[in-house]
Amino acid sequence: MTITDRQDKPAASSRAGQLSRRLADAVYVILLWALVLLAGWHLARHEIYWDWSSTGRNVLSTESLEVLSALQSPLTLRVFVAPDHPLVREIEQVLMRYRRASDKVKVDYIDPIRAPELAREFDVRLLGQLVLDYQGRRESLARLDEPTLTNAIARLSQTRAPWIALLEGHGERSPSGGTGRDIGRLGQWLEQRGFRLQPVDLARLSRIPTNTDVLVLSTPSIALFPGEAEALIDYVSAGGNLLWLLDPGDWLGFAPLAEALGIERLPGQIVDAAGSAFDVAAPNVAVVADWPAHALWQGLGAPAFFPGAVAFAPDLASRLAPDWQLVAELASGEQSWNETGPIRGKIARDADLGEQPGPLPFLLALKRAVPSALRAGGGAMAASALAEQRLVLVGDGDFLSNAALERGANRELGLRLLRWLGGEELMEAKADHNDQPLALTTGQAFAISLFALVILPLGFLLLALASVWRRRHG
Amino acid sequence: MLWVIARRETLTLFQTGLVWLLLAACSVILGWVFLNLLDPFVGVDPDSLEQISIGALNRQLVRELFGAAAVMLLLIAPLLASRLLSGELRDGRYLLLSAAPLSSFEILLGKWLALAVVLLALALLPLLLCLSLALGAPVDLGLCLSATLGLWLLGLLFAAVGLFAASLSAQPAAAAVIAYGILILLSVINRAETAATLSLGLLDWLSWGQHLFWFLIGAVRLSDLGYFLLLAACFLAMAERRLANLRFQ
Repeated sequence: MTITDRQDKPAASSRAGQLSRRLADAVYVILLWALVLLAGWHLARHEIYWDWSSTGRNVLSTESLEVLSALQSPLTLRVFVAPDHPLVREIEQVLMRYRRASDKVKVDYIDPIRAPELAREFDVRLLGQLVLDYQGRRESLARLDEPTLTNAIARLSQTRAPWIALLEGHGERSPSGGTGRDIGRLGQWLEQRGFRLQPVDLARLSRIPTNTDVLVLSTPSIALFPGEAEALIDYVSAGGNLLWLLDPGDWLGFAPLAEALGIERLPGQIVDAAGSAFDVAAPNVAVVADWPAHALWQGLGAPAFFPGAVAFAPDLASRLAPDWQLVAELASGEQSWNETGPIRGKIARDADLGEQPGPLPFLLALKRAVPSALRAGGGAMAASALAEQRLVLVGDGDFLSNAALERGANRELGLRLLRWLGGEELMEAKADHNDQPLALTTGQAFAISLFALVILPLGFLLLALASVWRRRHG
Repeated sequence: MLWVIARRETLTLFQTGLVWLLLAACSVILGWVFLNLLDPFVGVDPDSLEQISIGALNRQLVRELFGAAAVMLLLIAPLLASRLLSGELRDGRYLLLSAAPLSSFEILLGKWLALAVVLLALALLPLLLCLSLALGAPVDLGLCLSATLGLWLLGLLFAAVGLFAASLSAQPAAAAVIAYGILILLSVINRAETAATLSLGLLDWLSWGQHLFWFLIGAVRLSDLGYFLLLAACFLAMAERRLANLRFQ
């Protein structure tokens, strides 16, 4: 559309002039857009940005940066969601920081509806599920935040598969057995996740192999021989990592090891009234539903169930053998105690029998620095390359048994503990001072409403009236 | 001379009372959105609230409030722009102006700057509301500032598109309709059902929603700054070409 039609010139030459001007305009517009798109494309290739938010949500923590800098080859993150889904923005908010921090991180958005065979191959169950792929090893994440993703990348970049030795020969919980008491399902599940399991019989071997990353002890049915307990003490003092699943009852030959570590148990087993809230019929099941704040159980939503657990002495931290530090612990609920009598009929706490009120600790994660003499000498365990020796004591072996493995968060908790023992570094969630709930008093709310709905609009309205008045009279 | 025009246009907009009325209307709507967002948090026991934290509220608040303000900018900027330019083209005032020793570039830039001032006032409204919340809760000021910057840049782009549309038509209403057409195209272009992934990247880049999003989460990215300024410059350049053509006709 032309705005002014001033046709002074002869029609023919004007038409030719108009045509050439149109052509010039078209070329101008095309060149202009090409320039803009090229410049925009160039800018988009370099992700330079500044984080203005006070929470620093848009920058990576140093732990994550360290993990990323250790990457040797490309890490592919496959996100199973359509690229135009609103969820992508939320996901991209987290992934952008990783992509920016390392050029090894590649992100693929895959629409599970358009690529169903791929979704099947990666066992996708959720929209927005993330599958990490690093040097042929894969890991699937159902939730996405920085600690979860960083821990997963750290796990994947560990090249060696941890060796897990399981003590056997005395009727321990068997990694190949199928009864309710055995840990066959856990064993299977661990092997699928890259752990290598190795039964160890101290009647045939004089000591625990030095390439063991984690030794798992469970309660036997026949007592250990003194020489075998000796071998276990040697293993721990040489810097070996240990998962010890205890049960109520006698020490069954483990007493020297417990003494060497400075561990004391309370008599009886834990009974916890909190269990009834989770449809647990038996009173002797300790339930952890409110996970304490620690990276080891961060993100575990479901409760974990510990049937027939033995409690450790509440002031255990002060009695531990030298150098050992308590990293984290799980305790039973407020309404629990260690029942020494049989669990039958109506039971109540009897202080005279040494029954102490809850909360009672029944799962301890301990660590100590590996003595430097060990690291220099030849006798150290392979695992002590970590410079830190780790120990997990659980007052209950049943929570990983075939019967209880699938309950709540039991399986995930077992995996976390073994991974930590195997040398996985944990990234603590950043304490966020902004993560308190907000509540406005009625007075505050009234003041805010008054400002937003009355003062502000009315002020503008008055200014409008004033300007009109000034134009008329001023 | 550029500043003279910018000043004259700004004063015209404010003195007619139109801008003040717009600000009043917008503040009522935004205030309503704002209070609706806050409503669940009034007069409740803090212990019973665990579903949303202050950090999450800040993010939600910024996203919803500034998102609503962006829609208002989309409606208002073309109207103001068409009033500034189309109106003048229709009354022939533009011919008078162009007879002055001024390049059409200066005229255009002056008008654009005047719009920038008005739109800044509009972009500051959500920030004001967020600041009023500081009475009862820690407000993430950086986040609000980055969102305000994003909103203003969005307004600048909309103003440039509005001026370009106004240069196409001497009828303010027609100009506004053309501007809405272009802006709505820029809003939904990334939803185009194109299967080819390559072109999707380009269309994605062209739509403003993607770019505003990063400002709303507190990340000021160079590429988003570049997008708004480049696209605004592009529409201004096309408008300038159009006005320069008029002069030689």
